[in-house]
Amino acid sequence: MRKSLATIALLACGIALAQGARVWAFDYRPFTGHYSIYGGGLGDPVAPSKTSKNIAFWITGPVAKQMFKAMGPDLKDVCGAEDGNHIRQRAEVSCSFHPKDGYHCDFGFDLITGKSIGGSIC
Amino acid sequence: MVEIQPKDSRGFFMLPQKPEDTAYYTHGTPIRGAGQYADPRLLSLLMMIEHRWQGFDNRKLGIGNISLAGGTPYKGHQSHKSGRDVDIRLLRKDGKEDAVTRFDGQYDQEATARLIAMFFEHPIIKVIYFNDPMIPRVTPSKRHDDHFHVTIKD
Repeated sequence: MRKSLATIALLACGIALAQGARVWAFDYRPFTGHYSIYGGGLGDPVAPSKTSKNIAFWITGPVAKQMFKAMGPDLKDVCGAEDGNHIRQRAEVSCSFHPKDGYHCDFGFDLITGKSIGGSIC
Repeated sequence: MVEIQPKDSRGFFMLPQKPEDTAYYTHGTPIRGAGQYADPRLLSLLMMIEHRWQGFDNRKLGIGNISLAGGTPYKGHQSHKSGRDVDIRLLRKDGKEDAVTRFDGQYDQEATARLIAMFFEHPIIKVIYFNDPMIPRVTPSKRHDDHFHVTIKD
């Protein structure tokens, strides 16, 4: 009896591992989003120039949902965390969820230095 | 023909663009006021402030992003969906209708402080985000060095 239970448990583990291996594989998936190349700051952007050239990304859909869920918990008392909007941030990466608008994430880079500078303001 | 001020699905009017005899000018993204639909209380506040400002200063106030028509998500902003947020440019010493950061020599700290104090006189102000530590009552927030962000209560 004990032997058959151990066999069943081993089989179950094997099946679970096999399924896990099948579910996750390193691959690249398409996503939806927008980007803007600009100069100056996001608060008052100007045309990009040789001395100031940045990019901001704004992505939505399943990838934004995955990022949002990986970044919890929600931030309280921050700009934008009102009217049912949930905000999550890690350094210069921001994500949000609103029941009506769905998920979004944003991030951005200084294209001259490569530095991460965020993709949104309050 | 009288031009009708654009109104969105929430009943919010667009901030009048290029009005004559007022103490403000408009800017922002997207252009032509597409991001300047305001809650009526914010619109009234802006009109009161600009009217009062004319008594102090000849320079015009630079009013920027408020909200998109219908309050749809505003790319590049975490807020600006309710019509209760507005971005205002800092005052420049040379009076140009252009952007300036608080680190620039053209930044007029005294005039900007006076303008922010004028906003704070109104009880519907919830918060003003701005990074100049010399200006009282403002709340620091990332990337708020070239404008201040006013939010009114809901």
